[in-house]
Amino acid sequence: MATTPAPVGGARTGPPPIDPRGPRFNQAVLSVALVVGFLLQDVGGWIVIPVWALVLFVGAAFGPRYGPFLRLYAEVVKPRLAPPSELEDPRPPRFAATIGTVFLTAGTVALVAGLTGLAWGLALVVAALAGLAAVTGICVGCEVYVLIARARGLALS
Amino acid sequence: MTARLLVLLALAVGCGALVLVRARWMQGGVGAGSRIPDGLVPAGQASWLVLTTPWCASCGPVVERLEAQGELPVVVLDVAERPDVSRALDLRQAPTVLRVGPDGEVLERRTGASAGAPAPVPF
Repeated sequence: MATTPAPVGGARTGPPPIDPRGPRFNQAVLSVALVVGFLLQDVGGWIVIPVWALVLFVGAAFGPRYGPFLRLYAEVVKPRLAPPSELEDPRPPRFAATIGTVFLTAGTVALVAGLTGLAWGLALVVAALAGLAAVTGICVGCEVYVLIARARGLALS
Repeated sequence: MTARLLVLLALAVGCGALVLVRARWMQGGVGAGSRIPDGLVPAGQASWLVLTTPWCASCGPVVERLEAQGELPVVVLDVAERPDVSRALDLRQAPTVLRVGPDGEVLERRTGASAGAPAPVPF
């Protein structure tokens, strides 16, 4: 017997849930790229900062179809995997990608301004949190989104 | 290069610490022995209380699994509409599933996407 007053979760107010492994794949590639770029910054590795700022921006702004690594996951990796055991609301990971975009864009500006230390500091924060999410599933940006939404009392249509 | 590797190592250690702190924090909040506010579940009978949020994609399947088991009544509460309940219970994640006794005492707490699974049968 159930006394369910309303549909639960994203079915009531949110967009269709997504396979959480897509954002995790994107975060893994991002983290590795930034770390490698950091280690090879003397031979042009700095390029990963503006490139990934653009990659994250495109995926966050226009949807996973336009994010190259999200698209790669959807079309190449996912068909080779078993169906996901759970789904997730796309809004928190998209917010996390937006935060990453902001950090890497600021890093790009810092690079242009000659503030290499600041640029890599910002990039390594993104690399660390992206790597954390990819390995453990703990998405700090997602949890910030949840805290903000909770504080604002949003139903989030 | 050594300095850069040390920076990366420090970051990895920092992330590990963050994981541990978060795991510790997640264990807090409402649990067995707590009492839930009056009026959330039917009085005088045991029930499942499922605490959900609008952005919790796992919550729907958890509710469906609990309902399918048919053991106890299932009450679903969207804490986005009841932030007072979220604060009172110190909710840490969604879904949080509480098995509530007839007197309003929490007997069991489960969290996450597997919260709706039947309890394992002991050997």
